[in-house]
Amino acid sequence: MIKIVVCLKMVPGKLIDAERSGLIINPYDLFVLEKLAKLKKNTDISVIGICMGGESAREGLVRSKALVCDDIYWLNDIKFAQADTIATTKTLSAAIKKYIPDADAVICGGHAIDGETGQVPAELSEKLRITYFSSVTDIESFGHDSAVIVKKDEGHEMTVRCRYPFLLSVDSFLTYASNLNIIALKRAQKWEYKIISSEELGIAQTDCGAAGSKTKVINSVNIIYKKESIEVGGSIKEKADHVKKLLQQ
Amino acid sequence: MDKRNIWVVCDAFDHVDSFTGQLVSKAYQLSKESNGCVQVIFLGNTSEDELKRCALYGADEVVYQHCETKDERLWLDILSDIYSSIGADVIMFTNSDFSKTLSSFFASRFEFGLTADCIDICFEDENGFVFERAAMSDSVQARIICIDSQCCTCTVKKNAFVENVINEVKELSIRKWDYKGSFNTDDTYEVISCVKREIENSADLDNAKIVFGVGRGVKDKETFDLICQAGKKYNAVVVGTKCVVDDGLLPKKYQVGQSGRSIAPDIYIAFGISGANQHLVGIRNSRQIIAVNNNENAPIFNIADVKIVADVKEFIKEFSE
Ligand SMILES: Cc1cc2nc3c(=O)[nH]c(=O)nc-3n(C[C@H](O)[C@H](O)[C@H](O)COP(=O)(O)OP(=O)(O)OC[C@H]3O[C@@H](n4cnc5c(N)ncnc54)[C@H](O)[C@@H]3O)c2cc1C
Repeated sequence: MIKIVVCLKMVPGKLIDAERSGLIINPYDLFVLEKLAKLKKNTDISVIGICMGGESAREGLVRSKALVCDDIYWLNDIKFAQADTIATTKTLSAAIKKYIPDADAVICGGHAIDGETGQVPAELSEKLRITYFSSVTDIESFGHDSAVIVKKDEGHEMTVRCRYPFLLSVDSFLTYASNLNIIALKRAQKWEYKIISSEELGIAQTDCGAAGSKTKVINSVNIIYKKESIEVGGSIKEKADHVKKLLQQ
Repeated sequence: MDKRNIWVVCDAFDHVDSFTGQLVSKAYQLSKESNGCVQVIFLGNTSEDELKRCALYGADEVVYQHCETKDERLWLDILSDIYSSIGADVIMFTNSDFSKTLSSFFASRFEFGLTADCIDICFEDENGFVFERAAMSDSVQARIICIDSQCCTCTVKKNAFVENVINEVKELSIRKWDYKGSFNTDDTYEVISCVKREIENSADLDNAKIVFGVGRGVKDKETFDLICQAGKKYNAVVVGTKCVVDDGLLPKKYQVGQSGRSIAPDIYIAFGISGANQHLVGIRNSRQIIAVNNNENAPIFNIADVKIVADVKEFIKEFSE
């Protein structure tokens, strides 16, 4: 059976829908999960999710479980918080080496829509010392000793057969999850999620979270400026006429 | 105090391209502010005359390693070799796919701070080198420093800096590197097929003065057609949100936003668009934004100049009269 690890990040839902609260599965990771769910229907693969995140990640993990994951490792410890890409990579690689050392494929979404560095996949492949494929747009099939993927480079689209083990950075995303099977969802809600602390993982405090980070955000400013807008009232005709006038100027 | 080494890693392989010129120009400016020395690391295959061009933008030194292949793992090994020997305080990479991977490999190997897609870099007495980049779906700009990291690394967005020929004559030294490791690259993959990607062109948008944007609030074909007709009348180009493009109402080349195009017309009218950040980043340079939405709290109104709370269908019917 082909063992596939998927790195999952939960991101603020308001980033894709202002009215949404809480965390959602990063849209790039969601694409990977949905793709694997389709492939799993006729291929013998086992899908293992791995997620670094606090309690607020639970709902996303339940959905990931219901969608496709056979198992999930939840790296949940306040000491993991505020990690930059270097600390994240160290933590994820420690977990993969410890719990899933025989993974055939590690798959990451190409970006997380909050941090948006796109660096973790490549950094992780370097830590795990496995072949790296970037800009992957699709996964076609998993075979006995290799998988077939589609990737782009400047100006081309290539179909490539890659030998295990490897790490993929996937550049496609989904903004909406497909409808989940209610029974699978119920089952996933009842499932017992393994919570892994830094101690259990055996990673030094100075290697993870804020303490293990090599970069620090000193401040950030909003660059989408709010404007004072003028509301046009009145009948629908008055509103339309107002816009017509603006266009004729 | 020793001079700080500021590296620029050129990834153009056989020439000094303008992207590298941009980075060297910035490195030169930073070297003035921070008492630094600008070193261009050139891997690939080119002539000495070409390398000398780096001096035009202010480089002090070029470290040149001849190699025949552009492979991230090979370049990582060579770069590591050079770094271990001469060291660097700051390393700037371009943000091509290749260099993004190379820089991530490098930062991961040495555990250095890495800031992606910088739009500015400055040197401050209290913070040292500060890197600026956008985050949160391009809605915020963050200032980032490296901590507890011997070397700061970054990738830079294209055209963030201006290529600038300096008005001083610099004595450029070219150091030929002699990498002793293996140049073999391992082939763990096989290309089955390769097709050229058509880069879709939406040139009509470049100079459009008026643009109409369609969102999911436009629920039927009739409303959409009326918007297109009005577009013709006012010489406006019709674009859409990602959702509308995914639904097949408009071709991908007319998607505006983070994963589409950015536009800067005089007037942008948003019809039934909620105003997600990913869309806003593509329209924020419009001179005037008019938004039509039936939800008076829709986020699009936050950046609109003219707010019209109305049903799109009713509005466009009246508008087309
Ligand atoms: C990585 C990533 C990249 C993305 N890139 C892009 C991008 O490049 N461009 C982009 O646009 N999006 C992008 N998105 C998607 C983005 O997050 C939003 O989902 C999308 O912009 C919403 O489109 P919308 O406004 O058409 O739809 P919705 O959010 O569904 O909004 C519809 C709006 O119409 C209004 N409405 C409904 N009925 C009516 C009516 N009868 N009359 C008037 N108003 C009505 C509603 O009040 C609502 O405000 C991206 C997302 C991700 C995760």
